[in-house]
Amino acid sequence: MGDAPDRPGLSALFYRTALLLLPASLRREAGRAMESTFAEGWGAARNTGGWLGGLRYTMKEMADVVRTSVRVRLRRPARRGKQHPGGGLRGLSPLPSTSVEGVIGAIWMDLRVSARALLKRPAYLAVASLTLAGGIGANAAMFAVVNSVVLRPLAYPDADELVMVHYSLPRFGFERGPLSYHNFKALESRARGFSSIGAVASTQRTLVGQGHPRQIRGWRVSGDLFATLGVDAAVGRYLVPVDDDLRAPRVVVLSHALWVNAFGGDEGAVGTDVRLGGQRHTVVGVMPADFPPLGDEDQFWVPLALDSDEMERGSNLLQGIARLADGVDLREATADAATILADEARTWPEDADRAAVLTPRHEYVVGSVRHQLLLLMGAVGVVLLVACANVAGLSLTRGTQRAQELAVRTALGAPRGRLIRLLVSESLIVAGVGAALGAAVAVSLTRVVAGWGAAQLPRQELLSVDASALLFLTVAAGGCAVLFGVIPAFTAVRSQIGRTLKDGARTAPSHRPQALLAAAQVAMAAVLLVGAGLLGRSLALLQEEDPGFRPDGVLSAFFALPNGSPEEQIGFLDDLEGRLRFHPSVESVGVSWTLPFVPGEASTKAMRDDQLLAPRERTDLYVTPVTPGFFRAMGIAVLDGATVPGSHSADDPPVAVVNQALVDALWPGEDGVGRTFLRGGGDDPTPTRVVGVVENMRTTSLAEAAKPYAYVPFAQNVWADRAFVVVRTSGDPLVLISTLRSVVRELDPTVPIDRVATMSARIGDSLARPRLRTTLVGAFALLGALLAVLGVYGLMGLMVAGRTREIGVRMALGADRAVVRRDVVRQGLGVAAAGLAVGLIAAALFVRVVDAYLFGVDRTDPVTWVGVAVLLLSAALLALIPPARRASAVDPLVALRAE
Amino acid sequence: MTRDDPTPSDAPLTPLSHAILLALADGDLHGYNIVQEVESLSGGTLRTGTGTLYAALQRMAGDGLIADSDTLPGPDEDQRRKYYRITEAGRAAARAEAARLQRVLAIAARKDLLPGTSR
Repeated sequence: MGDAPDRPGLSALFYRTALLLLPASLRREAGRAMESTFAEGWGAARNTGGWLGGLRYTMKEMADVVRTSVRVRLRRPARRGKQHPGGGLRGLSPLPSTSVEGVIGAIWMDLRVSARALLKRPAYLAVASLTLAGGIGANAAMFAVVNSVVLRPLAYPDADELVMVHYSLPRFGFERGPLSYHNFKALESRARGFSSIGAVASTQRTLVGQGHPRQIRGWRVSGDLFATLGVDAAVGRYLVPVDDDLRAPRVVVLSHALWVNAFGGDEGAVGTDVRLGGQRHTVVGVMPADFPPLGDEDQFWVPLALDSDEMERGSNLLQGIARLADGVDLREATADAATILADEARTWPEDADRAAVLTPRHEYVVGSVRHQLLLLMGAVGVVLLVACANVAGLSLTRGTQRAQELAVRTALGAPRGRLIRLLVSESLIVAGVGAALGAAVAVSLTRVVAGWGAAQLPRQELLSVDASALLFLTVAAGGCAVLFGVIPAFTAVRSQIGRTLKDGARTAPSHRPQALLAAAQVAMAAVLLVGAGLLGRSLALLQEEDPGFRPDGVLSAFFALPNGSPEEQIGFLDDLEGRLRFHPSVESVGVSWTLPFVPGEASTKAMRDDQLLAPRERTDLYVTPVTPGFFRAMGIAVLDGATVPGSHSADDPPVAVVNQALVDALWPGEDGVGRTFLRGGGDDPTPTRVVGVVENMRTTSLAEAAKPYAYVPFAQNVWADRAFVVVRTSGDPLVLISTLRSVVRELDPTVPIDRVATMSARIGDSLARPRLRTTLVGAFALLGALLAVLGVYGLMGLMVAGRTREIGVRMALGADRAVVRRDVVRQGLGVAAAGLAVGLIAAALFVRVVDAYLFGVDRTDPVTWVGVAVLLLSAALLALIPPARRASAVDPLVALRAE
Repeated sequence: MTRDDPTPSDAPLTPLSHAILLALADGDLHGYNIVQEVESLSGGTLRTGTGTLYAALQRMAGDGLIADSDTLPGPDEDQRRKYYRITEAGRAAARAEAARLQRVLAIAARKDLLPGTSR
């Protein structure tokens, strides 16, 4: 994740861990040389294949180590096989015979013996498999999300050949701008890198005649678009080049969802006429349900049919979607398109400095969420590691307790390999139970995520736990079994046998491996907590940001202006405001063409009237027509002058109320009222007089700076054909919804009301994504911390249990109970603190992966770092109280008598 | 599979062992060099993982075919590197393997099974 360093780092760590699987002799002899060779191979793989190449190499090498560890061991017992004539132990299967039945029988026997051993101590099985179920389930759910949203290809034939075509202005940091008609035509006729290219522009139309009138969203598409995508219509036909003409009969293709909702899924709908945007269109086809949407919401497609204004060079409204020609890669196609745009720019200065930008369609759709999803995947992966370490600790403890049993079995002649097989099959059973429970966890978690993530994730309609998610789950469970089972099994067999029989249970067993595991859990939990803490602080600060208006008690709704002359439309707005204002709970009413936190702002350029600047040197300006009541209804503070652009008619000189950001940009430190600025990006900008100045307002995100805005009267801006009505109430705004609908219906029954929401909800929606990722990372971190604390608790409980005799002796010799208690706490905190220290160092190395999501805090935020340390240590302290109590409650007489 | 027989000359070598001996014939090499050399000698068909390689090296050292080299990593090299050299027994084994392959070739030629010949 992020930009990896050029040394293997994390990969090397994984590889070194995998080397533990090899026999000690090989590790001693060549372990360091192997690490060195791995590092060199990794470097070469990374140079040629990027981070993915490095990852692939690491996976391959680790698999090779696993294979080798098995092969080398198979080689050894074969040599010594004659020394162990069978073992003759009840319950231990004979040497696997070479026949398939023999092998399966032996495995089956192992599993049965292990299951019986596990059921004798059901607590271990329950705790271990539940811990794993949580970890595995959360991982599988996250994988299902990543797989559905990011990994799975889009449902087009040869989807990887599809690219989005935009242009960029690298000098101004502007990427992915829309193309002009001429750019598109030049690419269509001359680009050799494409086998075909289509163009699209988003649009909204009012659909009348199917139920209540509704505003629907869709796309205008060029004639070759559907052929380029290569998806056939489910019913009827898709749009073809002859449709794409202003003089051609008007036609429309419906989305599957619109066809079902508005036409009842009737195939007879194809061929009938519908009224769309005030004009009659013939329905010619319906696309299939799984046709990937072009944008957030695709309800219909109509021909592009540009008018002469839209074909102007300055009019950039098209996104290109092209299919790469056979054998042409992205780089070649980009170079080819760049040459064509550069040719254009030589003739047409408007197009100067443009560079072609080709983005794979898949990348374009999922690019914005991929990094966050991978971040979440990483976080949940760490949780699984913590769970594995936790279960490994449990299983080591169990191994210690069974040291006697294992030693007896060895003494009776069971070969080491057989014991290892027994322990491994136990961990496989635990992992299997964990995986089965984990599948249930995954399915329910995926539903929860789908519920939260609706509208936050592209392609979330595809979200499901499918075969590949289940495969992932199985692999994860197997990996866990190796991590928590196999390594401890080798350790247990190697360290316990021989020693135990000699010593009996007289000396306290070493708890070093358990202590390391507990510390590792604390370390990983610390990394997660630091990430979660920083995200949480950012979210809290973001929520406190002032949007620049007072959203409480404000209802807003979208409507299309009725067809008619500008005067009639202004009249409609006056009537609407007047009737709503009449309602007792309404405090104020206003109308605006665009609304904060609703996509669809319109930008242009502005400059002072005493300057003459080239268009690209002018200030960015956002413009929206409003009625005078808008500022009061939204609760925007008026800083200076009037709020009444509405009293100016179309014949008066243009006026505007502007926000402070525009004043600061054009006349820093001076008053704005009475000044004139030039509005527009062309040769003939409109002189506009400032009649009032209002407070800045955030319009797309609380994290962004306010943009320069000009609020202009509807009467002087007759191009507006749709608007939002904003109503401030003294009571519950949602109560007004029905009033709003009935008022509009009385005024004009053909006007649709749509996207009704309170302004608070709109701001809330803009925070949904940060809230989702913060909640998830936070939940993962808390889960990890809980497991880690349990790990510390388990470790100290074990230590106290193993040292009962020693404690008894000390007490018999007069040691104070408080001293005994303090000893336990000190040891436990020592382990936690060591883990914490490592964890904080690791967090310092990894914290930059959340940089992109921080707001108002630095990654060095002391509150977070200190908070994590305090939280983890105090939780560990709490967990140490029971074992400390138990230690100080040891009765010296009982402990010594137990001898 | 087992290599209990201490005289290596008549046991066929695995392709990897043979390639390692051939790689070391020109001079002492460290692990990653061997990986690269084995791959280039085999025309890219023999790609060995690090684990497999070192397990093979350990086995071959046990059989006396190769030994640790006196070459140590230079001051600006990775100090963990370990160089290997071929032993006389190793040369003999490689030669024996080549002879065995030559016999195979001769038989194949008789049976008209060499690449590029008529079928």
